[in-house]
Amino acid sequence: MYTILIIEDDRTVRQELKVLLERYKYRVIVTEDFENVVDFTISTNPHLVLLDLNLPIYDGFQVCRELRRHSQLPIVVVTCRSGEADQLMCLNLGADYYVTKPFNTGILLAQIATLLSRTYESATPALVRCGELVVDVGQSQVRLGQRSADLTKNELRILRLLAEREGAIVSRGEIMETLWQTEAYVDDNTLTVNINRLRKKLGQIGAAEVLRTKRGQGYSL
Amino acid sequence: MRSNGGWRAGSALAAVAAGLALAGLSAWSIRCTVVRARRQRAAQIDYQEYVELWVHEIKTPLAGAKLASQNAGDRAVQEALERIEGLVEQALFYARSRSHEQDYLIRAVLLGELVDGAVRNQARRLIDGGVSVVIASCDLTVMTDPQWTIFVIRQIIDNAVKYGGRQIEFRGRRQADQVALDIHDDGAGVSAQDVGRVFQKGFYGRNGRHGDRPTGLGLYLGWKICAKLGLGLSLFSPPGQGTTLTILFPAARPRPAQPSSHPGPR
Repeated sequence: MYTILIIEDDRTVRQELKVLLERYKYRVIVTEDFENVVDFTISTNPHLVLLDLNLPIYDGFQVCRELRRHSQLPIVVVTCRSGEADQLMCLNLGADYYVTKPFNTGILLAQIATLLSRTYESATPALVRCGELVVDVGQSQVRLGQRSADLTKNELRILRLLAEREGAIVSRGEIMETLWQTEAYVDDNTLTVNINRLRKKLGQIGAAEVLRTKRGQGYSL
Repeated sequence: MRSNGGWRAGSALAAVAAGLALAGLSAWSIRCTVVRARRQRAAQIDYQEYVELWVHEIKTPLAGAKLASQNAGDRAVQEALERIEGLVEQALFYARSRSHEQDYLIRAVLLGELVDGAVRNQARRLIDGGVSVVIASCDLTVMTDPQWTIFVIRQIIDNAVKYGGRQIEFRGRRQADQVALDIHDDGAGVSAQDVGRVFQKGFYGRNGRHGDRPTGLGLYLGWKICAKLGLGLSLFSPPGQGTTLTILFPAARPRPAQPSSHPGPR
């Protein structure tokens, strides 16, 4: 399980980000001590930092620069400023990624997952487990026991999303939004086709019942 | 003034005095006008700075509200917040479009990057509106400010959805040494007598859908921004065939088009 540290002075944003990330099975640490942010980060040693730029005492630019002198951990900068100049400055200071408020959570989650797997799983391709089912992101496959089925890009993305949110109902709208963030602009009909094919492939490996349809609400694994 | 005798000299003096007074007065009034203009300019800059600050300040509570509504699974609130976000952004660009500063950065960018940026931003609106997206021949390089241009495309998408489009198509093409981006929707279109007014401030046609009232600012702002960036913007709407908006990008300078050196989010 990965640990994410949220450095953000707005209480609502901090709290709601924590809820969101915990829902995606991350361990989350927060801090309200903005005087010793760098020391706190080093002592808690998280896998990734979400860093707000507009902090009291030391601003995010300083924190980012200071953190980089001690550690190579992935830093995602969160800010209200949308100018390209600010963006460039963050990246020059060593941030790995830059999101502007109010952010799109789909993009944020995808970026966190990518950064984490790139940093910590470079040797082994990412696997998402959901009960007995294994979604092999690297091989674009789904496996159950000895049996496996190859997935297309969209099928993989849909299954991965559902597996990451194991047990939760994910609406068709949310699935489409996630696909759209990867430039696959599927419409309603295409999504139905994708889901039906995915169900068929799950059937081939004996896992047809895993994908449940909640009428009028969405799907869940 | 002298009272008696030498009235000639007296009147001459008076004329000189009057002339001087007049000259002095006009110099003074010119100085006044200059001071007033300077003050107005300062007030305008001050106001623009305030709007920029306000927009940046409101983004944090807006982010908090969006996260909270998403965590609670409240799609109605999410939609409302998304609209607020769009309007806040519009205020920022409106304030900026009025300034005479050159606050944009022209660089080489792929047409596809601009379209993807705008579509991704409007994803929820398009999905909820059941609008499908087609993108074709957008691997052409243009010279423009990406942020401003994406904002213009977003306004056009927003309009297409409001006017009942079910499909929106983005198609790039070369036009002599320029590049054109056609954005076509199959919505209600604009009637012939309204076509001339679509880029006017506060104008919205009678074809707008009920319950989702256009602001009459989107295309006006788009047009202003295009003028500022040196882009062309035109609208074509034959009866019953939806609307096509075309953004015309000027020819890139003859040196080989450099791929963007800007690292950007990966």
